[in-house]
Amino acid sequence: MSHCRDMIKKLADYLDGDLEPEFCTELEKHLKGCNNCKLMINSMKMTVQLCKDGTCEDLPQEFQDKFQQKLAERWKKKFDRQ
Amino acid sequence: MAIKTDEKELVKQAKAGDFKSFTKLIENYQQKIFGFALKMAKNREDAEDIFQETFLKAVDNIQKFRGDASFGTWLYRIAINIIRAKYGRENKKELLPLEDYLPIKHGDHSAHVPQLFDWNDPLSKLTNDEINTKIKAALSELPQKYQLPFLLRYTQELSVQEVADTLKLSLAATKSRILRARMAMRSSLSGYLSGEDTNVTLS
Ligand SMILES: [Zn+2]
Repeated sequence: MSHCRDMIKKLADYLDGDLEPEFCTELEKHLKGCNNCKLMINSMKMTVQLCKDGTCEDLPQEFQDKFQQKLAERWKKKFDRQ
Repeated sequence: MAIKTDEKELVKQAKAGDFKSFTKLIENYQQKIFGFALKMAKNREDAEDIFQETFLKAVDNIQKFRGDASFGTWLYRIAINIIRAKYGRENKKELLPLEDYLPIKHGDHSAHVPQLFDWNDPLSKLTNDEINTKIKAALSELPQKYQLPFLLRYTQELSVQEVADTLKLSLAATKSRILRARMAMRSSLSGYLSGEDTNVTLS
């Protein structure tokens, strides 16, 4: 008899595709009959997906230009001293 | 983690004082470090500081880079040190034991029951900005020792092994922190999305 708690503890490995095949079969069997575990897995997947989606923001060009300049100055200072 | 050959050559040239090689070396990491800084920083100004400091420190210390970790790992370590120095000792609540994020056993009336419902419905009613604000809030509640591995793994897309190398943790500790962070994030977001306590008892 598979319990939800045992299932969920191994979930992270399952979600990262890093799990022994026997457990995968067991989990998939459990999921067929357990809506709550399905909701749990989906929300765990979505947690990560939402965090990934929000990441993209390009470096503003103006900031980038100033940064390159500072970097070059720092480099010059370092290697001119040597 | 072995350092790539072309990277090795660029490091050699940079150490000899060639700025072009250094620029090429950091090219692929700028956007990544900026994204990471945005996630870790309290505001945008801090994120720009962290980003800039990371690469200026990399200039100062390039001779100390020995190549036993990848160049990316080395950069993340510099960024993490800057973040730690900037924010000092934090005053955040330690996460609950993993057990407390799992569904309760019948008859256990713990207050921290994961709320289970279909997220698609509440999410469809929120704008991207609203969702991002909620994520930022949930992230900011995580202590750094969970925040860091979680972000390195999922937003910076390092492998578990690379996260372990970057943070100098064992593989087991890394996995366990990533899972606890994920469960805690799930739980916070659940709370924001549902707005109510729906206790569910599982087997
Ligand atoms: Zn279940």
